[in-house]
Amino acid sequence: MERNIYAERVPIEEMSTDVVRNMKGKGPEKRIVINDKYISTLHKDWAKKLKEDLTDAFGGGEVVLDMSDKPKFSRDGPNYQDLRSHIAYLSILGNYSILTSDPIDARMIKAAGGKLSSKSAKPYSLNQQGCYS
Amino acid sequence: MTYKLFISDMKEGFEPQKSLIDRPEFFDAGHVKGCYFYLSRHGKLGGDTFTVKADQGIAISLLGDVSGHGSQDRYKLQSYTSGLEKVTDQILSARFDEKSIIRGILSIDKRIPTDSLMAFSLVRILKDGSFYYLNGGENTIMSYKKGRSEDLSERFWGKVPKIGAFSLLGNEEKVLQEVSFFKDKLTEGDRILIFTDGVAEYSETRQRGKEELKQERLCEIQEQLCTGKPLDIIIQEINKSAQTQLRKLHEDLADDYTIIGLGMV
Repeated sequence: MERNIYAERVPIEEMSTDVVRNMKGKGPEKRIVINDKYISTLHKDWAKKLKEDLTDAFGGGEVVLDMSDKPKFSRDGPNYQDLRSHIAYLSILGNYSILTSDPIDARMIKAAGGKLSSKSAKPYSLNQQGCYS
Repeated sequence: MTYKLFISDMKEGFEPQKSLIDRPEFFDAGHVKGCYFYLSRHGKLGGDTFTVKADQGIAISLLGDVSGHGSQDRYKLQSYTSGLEKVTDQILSARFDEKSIIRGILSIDKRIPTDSLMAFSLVRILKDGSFYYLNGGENTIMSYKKGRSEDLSERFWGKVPKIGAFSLLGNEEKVLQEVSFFKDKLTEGDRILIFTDGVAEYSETRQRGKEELKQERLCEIQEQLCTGKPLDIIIQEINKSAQTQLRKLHEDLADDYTIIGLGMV
């Protein structure tokens, strides 16, 4: 049986340099970092808050939803898979792109219909690796 | 003879598997033999639900990540699952009107609030081996044909959304034009695995990092499908590996976990 070759994680430092300005910055691209700190302020209304932030940040140029600093799984709030899926949804809704360093996250975001930032890791594809008996 | 199996943790008389070491349950539609394994996170309502129906062919519908708890959500979930049963009937029907099926999906889609998106997989296999499939979201449909496996769900990336997000594609007419089943042919010995994202990402640690481990998990599932072992053994091997990892990490399942295996006889 052939062995699969793994897709590579993109180092966060490499991704961040020219993508990031700040959330309401003046750069060509704007970024909202979706991390533990962000999520802990949202609780159940995280989706609503994120929508507000997107509206706030959206004033021309590309808005990047940065998931490279992954939020923790929470038993009370949204779990990571739900969160990722809803961010994918918001990305189609508002024409935003998602930045992730993780090829599996990229795969799941793509599957959920979300748009990936050009700096994001490429979605992990089983078909590219192949498996034969 | 009509064979019907409706699975949901809301339905009386259905006992979902209680742990990853339990055995899958079998079903037999004549031309297709299969088995399923369904584990609900913390035994709570919500998560995954599926339907298997057989008559002249076999139809399978799987919803992933249906969320909600409590009586209000229970009512909503019952409404989704009854919609899913209708869609499964339409898939099984000899007429197989794709537009009616998509309309059935859209009618569920309209009832879903934007915070309850659902991944879905629809599969139809006829006695002559005609194989139809449609997938939206993070569920995976994996085939094994003539010694080679393929992830069929990748064909739908960027084309078919999750249920709850169809309105983003445009009006009903546009959706009916753009969304359609893929068609293929299965022969004796060919296999199909359908599973929800909880099978690929069953632990918090795997969600938080260790990307190579997560890729390994998908490879592991794919490689198991290629072994030629009986489907129930394949599913048990996949589950055993998750169970071992979870024990090492001292973790519980991070999500609902559903696998359906189908083998063309």
